[in-house]
Amino acid sequence: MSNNPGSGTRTIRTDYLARVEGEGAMYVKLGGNQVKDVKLRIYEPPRFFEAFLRGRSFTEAPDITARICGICPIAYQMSSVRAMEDACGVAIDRGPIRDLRRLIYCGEWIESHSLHVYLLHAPDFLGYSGFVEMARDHPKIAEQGLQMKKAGNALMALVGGREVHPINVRVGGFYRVPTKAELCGLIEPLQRAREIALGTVRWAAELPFPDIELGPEHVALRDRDRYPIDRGRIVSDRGLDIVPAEFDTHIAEEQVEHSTALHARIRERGSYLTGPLARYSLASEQLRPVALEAAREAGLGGVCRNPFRSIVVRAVELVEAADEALAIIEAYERPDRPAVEVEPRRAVGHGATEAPRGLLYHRYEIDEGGTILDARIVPPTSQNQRVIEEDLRAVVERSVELDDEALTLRCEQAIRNHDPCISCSTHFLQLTIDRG
Amino acid sequence: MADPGRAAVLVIGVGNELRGDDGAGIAAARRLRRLAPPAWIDVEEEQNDTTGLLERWKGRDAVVLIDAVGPGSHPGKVTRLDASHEPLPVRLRVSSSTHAVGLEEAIELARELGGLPGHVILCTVEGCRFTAGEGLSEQVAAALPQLAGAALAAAEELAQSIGPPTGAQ
Repeated sequence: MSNNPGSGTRTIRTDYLARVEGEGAMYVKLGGNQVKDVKLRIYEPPRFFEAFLRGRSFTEAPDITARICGICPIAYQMSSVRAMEDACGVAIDRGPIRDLRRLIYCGEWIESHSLHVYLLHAPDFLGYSGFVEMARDHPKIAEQGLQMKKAGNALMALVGGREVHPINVRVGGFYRVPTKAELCGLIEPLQRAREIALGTVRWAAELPFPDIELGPEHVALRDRDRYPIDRGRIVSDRGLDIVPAEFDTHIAEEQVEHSTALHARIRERGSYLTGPLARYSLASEQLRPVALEAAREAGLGGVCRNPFRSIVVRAVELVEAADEALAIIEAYERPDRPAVEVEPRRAVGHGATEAPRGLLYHRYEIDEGGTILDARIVPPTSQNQRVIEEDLRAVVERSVELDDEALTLRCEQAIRNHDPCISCSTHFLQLTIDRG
Repeated sequence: MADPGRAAVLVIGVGNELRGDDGAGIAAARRLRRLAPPAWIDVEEEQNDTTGLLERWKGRDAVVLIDAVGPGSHPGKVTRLDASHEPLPVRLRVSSSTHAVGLEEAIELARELGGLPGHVILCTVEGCRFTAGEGLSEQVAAALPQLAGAALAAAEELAQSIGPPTGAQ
């Protein structure tokens, strides 16, 4: 960090951004009390996996895309199978296979959100520089996080075959479906997870939050009467209402000078936010009663526009995912076949699902034999970049009176509010806040 | 206290084989497995879920971890560290780990929570390329035999000090 009193400018510099997936690069320049520049800088071309998929069979898409993200492989698998099924004219929108997909996705939400809430985000609010230091004074928080994560992983392992990079997911369904007895073995850990999550909503609601309300356009899936996870139309709070196939018509990706990941914007308007805050604001009425009640008791209104409160929203989504998983298990009847037939044809297919971090869009072009000719993958963190930059600018403007160290921490926290998965949107993001 | 039904030493290669040199730990574990290690060594892989290690090594007395670190100025350099009683050197804490929870952090978290095995050895190789893509750099590929050998040697030393499990040959 450096301060140049002569020039009247400050630059905040941090070597790398801790506690996000991968690494992050950010640049903030102040002139007096004015924010001169904010950039989220990405160094590595994001197109490796899209190129890697070309020439492969459509059946390989779930296995390959699962490797894009170690923390949300299911999201990539789900968006890819929906897109391939869309291309082949198949829609799995109801029945036990669809329920199993939602179930494994609940497992991933639990695993991903619990890692973030308890280990990556909680230290910010409790004044610790890392979760190791936090665990020293608050071992219970870390232990609960690991216990929740274990429940999520167990669910993913049972339905998906392996905890990370699950191998049981295929176009059309699964290679093997669990028995009712196997799923019932998860009831107890999921009930415990739900209890822990409810306690976490109450705990998170009491954390110290900066008083800040921001107004990006919120974008999420809409799935009739369910909280959106695995399917739906793409909607926003400013009038967007499209099917995934219309993604390109309404959303543009453009190269910006300081980043190799593309910045997304709604063509008619500009930047937008996906993820827990957007989902909550657009679909809180569709939350299961236990989750909705917890949200209301925590003081969340129908819409949440304070990005620091995302920790409360993620805790609510933990309740939702645990409760939904239990309901699916209770109603489950093992299907006769683990998958439906999906015959390839020459076509373009689109798939959009809600990864823990937000909307994840896949588009594939395949030939009559099912060979992938072209692939396009738009991760949530990539879509959120512009809003993260705008958040940073807003947070810095409101915090200029803080000293360098406190301001740096506040900026890092502002990025972590969005739980960015840098390894999805780019691959190496080296955090540098320049102030001087 | 070790689980009497299990092998004496758990060796885990950690990393991501689709991010260049970050696949070194995985490659080393596979190499070790191909060398048909003795029955009292379990060789496993962990891709991207470092907090899951805390579950994996539960009930174990001895663990050897293999991972890439860097990037630094000596690609291919193999180092062995003992994390059993002391936190790892600070410079490793600031590694460019591609995992949200770095391996060193997972070890320290386990130590704080009382869940770290009594003997933990970390064998690392310094990498130079962590961008997305398959394949190790030349320097790291050339260092694989040494890395796998270091892990095997560490496992053998640990097994000597803790003794074989009941019923093991």
